[in-house]
Amino acid sequence: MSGWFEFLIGRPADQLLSLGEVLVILLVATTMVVLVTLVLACGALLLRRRTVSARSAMTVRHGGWQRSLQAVLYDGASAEDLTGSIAPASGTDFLNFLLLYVRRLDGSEREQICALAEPHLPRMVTLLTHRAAGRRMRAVQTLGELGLPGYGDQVIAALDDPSPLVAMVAASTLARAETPEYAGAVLAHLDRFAHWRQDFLSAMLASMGIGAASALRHALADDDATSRIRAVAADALAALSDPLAADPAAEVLGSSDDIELRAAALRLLASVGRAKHLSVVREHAAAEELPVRLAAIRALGRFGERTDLPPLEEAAREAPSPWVAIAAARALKEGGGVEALEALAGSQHPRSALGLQVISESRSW
Amino acid sequence: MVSIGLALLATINGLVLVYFLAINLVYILTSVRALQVIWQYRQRLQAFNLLDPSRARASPPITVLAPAYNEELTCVESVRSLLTLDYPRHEIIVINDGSTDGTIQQLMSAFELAPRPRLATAEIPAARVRQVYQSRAYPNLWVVDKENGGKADALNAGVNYCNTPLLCAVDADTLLERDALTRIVRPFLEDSRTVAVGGKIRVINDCTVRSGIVTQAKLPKNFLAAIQTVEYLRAFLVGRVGWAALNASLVISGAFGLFHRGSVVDAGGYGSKRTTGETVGEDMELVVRMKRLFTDWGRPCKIDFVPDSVAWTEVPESYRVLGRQRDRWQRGLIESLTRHRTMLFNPRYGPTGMFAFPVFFFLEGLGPVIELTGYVGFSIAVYSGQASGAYVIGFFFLAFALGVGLSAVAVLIEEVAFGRYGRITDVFKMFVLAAVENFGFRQLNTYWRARGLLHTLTGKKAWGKMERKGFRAAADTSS
Repeated sequence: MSGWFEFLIGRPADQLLSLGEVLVILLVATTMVVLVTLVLACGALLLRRRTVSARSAMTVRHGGWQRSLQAVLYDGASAEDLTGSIAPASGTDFLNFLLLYVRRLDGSEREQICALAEPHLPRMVTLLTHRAAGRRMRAVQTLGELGLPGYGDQVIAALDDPSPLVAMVAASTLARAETPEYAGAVLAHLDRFAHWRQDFLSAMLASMGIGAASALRHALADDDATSRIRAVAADALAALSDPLAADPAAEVLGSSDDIELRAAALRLLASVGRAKHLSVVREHAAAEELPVRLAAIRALGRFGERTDLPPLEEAAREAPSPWVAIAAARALKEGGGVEALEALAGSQHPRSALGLQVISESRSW
Repeated sequence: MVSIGLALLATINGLVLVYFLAINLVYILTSVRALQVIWQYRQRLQAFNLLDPSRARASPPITVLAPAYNEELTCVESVRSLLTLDYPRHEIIVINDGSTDGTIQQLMSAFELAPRPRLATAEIPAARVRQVYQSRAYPNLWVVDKENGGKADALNAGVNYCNTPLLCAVDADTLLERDALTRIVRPFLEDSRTVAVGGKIRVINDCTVRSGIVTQAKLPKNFLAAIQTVEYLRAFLVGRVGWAALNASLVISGAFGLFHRGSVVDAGGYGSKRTTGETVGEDMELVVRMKRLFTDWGRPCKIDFVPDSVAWTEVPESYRVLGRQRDRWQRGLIESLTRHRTMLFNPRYGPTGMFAFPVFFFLEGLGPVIELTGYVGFSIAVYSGQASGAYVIGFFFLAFALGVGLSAVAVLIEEVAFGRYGRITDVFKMFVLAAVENFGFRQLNTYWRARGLLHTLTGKKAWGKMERKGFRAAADTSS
């Protein structure tokens, strides 16, 4: 037993310390704890002072640049004067400053900002191979926002970056460029974002604008593409309200078994479908798969005919799933079947409250 | 007889030593991972604009569920805060859990509530709903007035009326920062396997609150509340971040968490006497159950944590109330762990079963008893001459130094990464508190937690009442 302690402390247990020695050790130990804490606290204090002074210096610097930038953009001042005043060490900070403005402006003002950034962009290219993903991310963002189309190849190459987040920053900046030629590159790399939420990816693709619709339609109709990519393309086309996408969407419904893809095709038809597509939508209004059925019901509400109202009313009253009932009731309202909802609301039916709910509801978003 | 006693003493002290080494190893590991993760997170935030318009369009709708029981003092201010949330598509459902004070009257007059029909979309068993109201002034605000059934029951009633893909559970006395939802939704956008995400809880006592928004973060004047500020920083910036990075999260605070609605329904909702069994730790129990069930069903289940998505909450300022809270937390922990003990050292559950669960079970669950035993055992060892004072003092010094170091790291992360405390004196005080909490408060907390463990064994179920000043009062005090 005592050997165990002797092994730990290198002193026999019977050779205990005196009270004075114990107090000295206690005092030393406490002092050390207090000192360590004080050192850390002083470190934080110094850090705070440095941050505050760096921030105030940056505010002053940015204030000066802002005045010069406004003079260049709106008063015809020379851009050379501004670029000449940027010290090489401040190049990255200047790019960060320009990033704050580039998204808010377009047309010639945007072009002028990109021209101001140009001399400092090569240093961003060197950062594309930095081992820290955060640095690469920032470099890709800067080149994508301020350096397109000149640095388009570098940004497209970043779609293959080992870090999926860097690749996503590349895809987002390419999408925001609203240049159709980047659509193919982004679509070809969508598999890299296998776990990203479908809504997010489709919104990103839609931000490329209607110019990308052709590439998106091609992706939707491509049987060799994964169902997920095709579904994302369908949702992007729906967001763009591309009328030419309706026929490929109807064809997808006839050929694919994938639930998400069929649901996306139905959402697309809800956005741009015409009377000739109604038959294929009706076929899916009683589908066993909930997402498909809900999308078909919503599509019928958007562009269905009077003959579609009775099955919708039936679904609102009798569908076991509350989701189907709510979707059907809303489709009834949208499709002009308010009287059917009023009848439901005034009845003794267990779903009478649903009728009242949908009649009175105004979506809060 | 004496030799048996000595052997027992040696065993106890050995056990305490192993506990000490193990828990500090875990803390160091999670701290290192937390530092890495927060550093990387800071870098990515610079390049990845969360408020980008394309993200806003893609943001899935969220329903905020706020159960309220006798919250007449804070409910209006809390709801006002929820109404200021900067998120494109969200609804708020306040669930009045049979309050016996003026909670429902306060809500009705402040927000012009009117009865409205609303079809339930799930059927998780819950106490009877008396009426559903919608605000005339704010169409995205709903109030479900139901009979009393407890917090988990109220949340289940809210889940039943939720018709968005995501739901955010908050306490009725919690103030969410305006961009809290925008930030906490990120893991759901980036990984569709995500089923739950926790947000960071900060201490609101003595902070300046204007129109439901914390305009100035301050360290509370009350000693206990100030110590808890440091504790919360440590728990969230080191603990939760570290566990999430190791893909082994087991806890999402009931005060602020975002869940995939369908997953909550599939898991059977929050644990209440009408569902999977009552528990005082319904937040942790749900997370552990989701992890267990979804793994059993072969479904993906990712649980994440977002360090810059913030909710503010009032913490107890009296020893009595704090003791009751810690007692309850410990009971919730033990109940959740014992209910799902099949996960313990079970490789089927991956890092959660093999690492997080044993740590929570042995070190967090049984830790207080081991720690208390250690104080007694070591004292006896020194008194009886079986251990040298130098060894014991060295041991305790190391323990305290590690404790201080851990808290100091959390304060440092807060200062460097977030810098929410504008007054440098507050940051300085937090470092001092990081040291001070180890002398007295830590032992008291250990006692409360050990008492909680004892109460679990004796079957005590009580919640204990939290005494609140209310945010308006807090704001008045600070200004």
